[in-house]
Amino acid sequence: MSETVLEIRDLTKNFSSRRMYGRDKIENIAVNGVSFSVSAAETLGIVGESGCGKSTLAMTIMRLYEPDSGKIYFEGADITQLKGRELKLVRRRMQLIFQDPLAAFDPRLRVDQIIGEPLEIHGLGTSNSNHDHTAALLRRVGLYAEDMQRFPSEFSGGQQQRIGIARALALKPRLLICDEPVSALDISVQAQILNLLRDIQDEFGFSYIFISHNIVITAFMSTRIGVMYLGKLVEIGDTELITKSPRHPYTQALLAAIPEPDPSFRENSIDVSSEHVEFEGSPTGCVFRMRCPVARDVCAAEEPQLRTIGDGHQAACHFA
Amino acid sequence: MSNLLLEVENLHTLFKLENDSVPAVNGVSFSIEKGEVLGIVGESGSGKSVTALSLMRLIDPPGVITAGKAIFHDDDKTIDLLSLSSRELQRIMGNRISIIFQDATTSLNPVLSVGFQIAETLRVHRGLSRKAAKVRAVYLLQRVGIANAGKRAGNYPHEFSGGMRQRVLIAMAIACQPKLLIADEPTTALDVTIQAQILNLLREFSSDFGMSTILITHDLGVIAQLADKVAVMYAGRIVETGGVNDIFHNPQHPYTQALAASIPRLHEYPERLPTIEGSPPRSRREDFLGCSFYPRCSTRINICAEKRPPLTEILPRQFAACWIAQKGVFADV
Repeated sequence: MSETVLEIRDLTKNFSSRRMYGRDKIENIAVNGVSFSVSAAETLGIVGESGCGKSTLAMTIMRLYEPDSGKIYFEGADITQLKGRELKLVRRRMQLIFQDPLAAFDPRLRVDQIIGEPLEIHGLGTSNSNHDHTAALLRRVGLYAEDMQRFPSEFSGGQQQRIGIARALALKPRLLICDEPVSALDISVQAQILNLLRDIQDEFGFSYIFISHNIVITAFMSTRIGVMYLGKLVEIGDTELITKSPRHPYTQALLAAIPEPDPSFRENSIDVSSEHVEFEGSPTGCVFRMRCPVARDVCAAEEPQLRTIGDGHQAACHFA
Repeated sequence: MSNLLLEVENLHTLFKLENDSVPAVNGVSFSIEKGEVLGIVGESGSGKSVTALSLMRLIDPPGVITAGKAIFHDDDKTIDLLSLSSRELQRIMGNRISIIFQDATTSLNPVLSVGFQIAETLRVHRGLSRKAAKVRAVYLLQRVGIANAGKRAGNYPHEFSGGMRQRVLIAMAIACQPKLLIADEPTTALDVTIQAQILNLLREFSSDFGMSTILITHDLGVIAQLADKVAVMYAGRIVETGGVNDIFHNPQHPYTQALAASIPRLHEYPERLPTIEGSPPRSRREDFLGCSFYPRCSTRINICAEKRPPLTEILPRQFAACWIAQKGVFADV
């Protein structure tokens, strides 16, 4: 068994708010008791629809949000409570890639400053060695050393994402969290970026948490996949198990809803329950039961726990 | 009688900028039959949305429609959408032809209830009374799958989820049973499970009242699921068009081939995805005489840089604008 890079246990993040002039706090549980671990050089995919808490999860792991409860272990050490200098040292080893790189860059900085900034913040290298390092990184992600003097807004979407990747690589991280890294890109460019992400992993040997709403792209990238629904991890397992024999009804619905890019498979491909029920507040029992085709009384009464149903395969469903 | 509903011929839409002009749509021609779903697929900047907006005459300066015809066969009349007066346009748009956009939030008026907005269409175009229009609006909301429609009709757009707002927009678009629905990225902002429901709805309406649909999307999966006929756009032109099965199973243009190959598929785990080098052109220079896909094409030959390939019938009812594809057919090229 290879070494564990990251482990989270029962991680929970709430956002509380008040109604206008109201007294009562409204608790909105964005991430609700999520546990998993990521091994060295592995890619764990996280899929789920909008509002399922996948981005909040990324921000909480990075300690950009303070977790309300639960533990985060990185390279064996508990980082849940770290502050100041120690936290900074940990963040050097964990990096984030965002959906919209332009929003993540300072528009007034040139490319060399953007990529060199992490090195400067962490007091690494000399300005000469950093210049060479930046040039090498740019070439590695498919840009040119001449691009160093340009501003991020001068690049196309795919090139901007390449700059974001170069910046994330600058500190030689152990773990890279990619939050919807290709969702804003054109199809032809998306494939280039996905290939690049896989190539650099082979080369540098770090781990990914790959977050996406698209289960097909996630499957291409990941060794294992975790499926989230309303803040909960409802199923997790090897990519092949999740895509070929999903056990949670939500995972099954996600897979069934993919519009197959082949007109020969039309009949059965779009066949999800058309009753979309929305609820507010935190429901009792299973989070998915309002939309679930197999829900019964027990689902409302009792919340299903994530339990092992096969080799490394877990699902949170009474009927899985 | 001919079964044609719309014939677009040589449409040109130009955006005049300070020191440049960008031909966003550059000689697009296609036709659509009654009850047919035409899928227009392309990447950002390919001109697919501008094509739709041009047909609806929703191009604002600095954009101008500089040439072209769009012949619409409405029951007994034949009209050119591009030369209608604004008064005639008002009678057609929202009535005989409707459009829905990707972002339902910006298409709905935030200070009017959704029921009122649907009823408004019916009162303007069908002359229904306030009361009759309201009854019909509630029925339409029911029809697009909104539970408790009677009560929900009084709600405002912000009280609905994204998927439901898209349903409201569809209800409004089909209120007058249009002959043609233009759907511009109708499901792009939606979650997959909701997307599946909306696609089902569109499919249902086109078969129920013989409505034709122009479906514009960058998602090949959505096209494969819904379209009868496909037009692939690149840099303001249609580079390939044909029946959906032909386009997916036997694409002739290298761009269509590469596009289809570059999307990841479930249960296939290749080490790398085939890619198209470079990125889609952002602004197009007209002084380049060759094929606009030339810089990114992996099978290009000399003639591709010198002369633009015309859209030619390569296989029965399958057209492609490519010298290589033509070479296989006509030995003299």
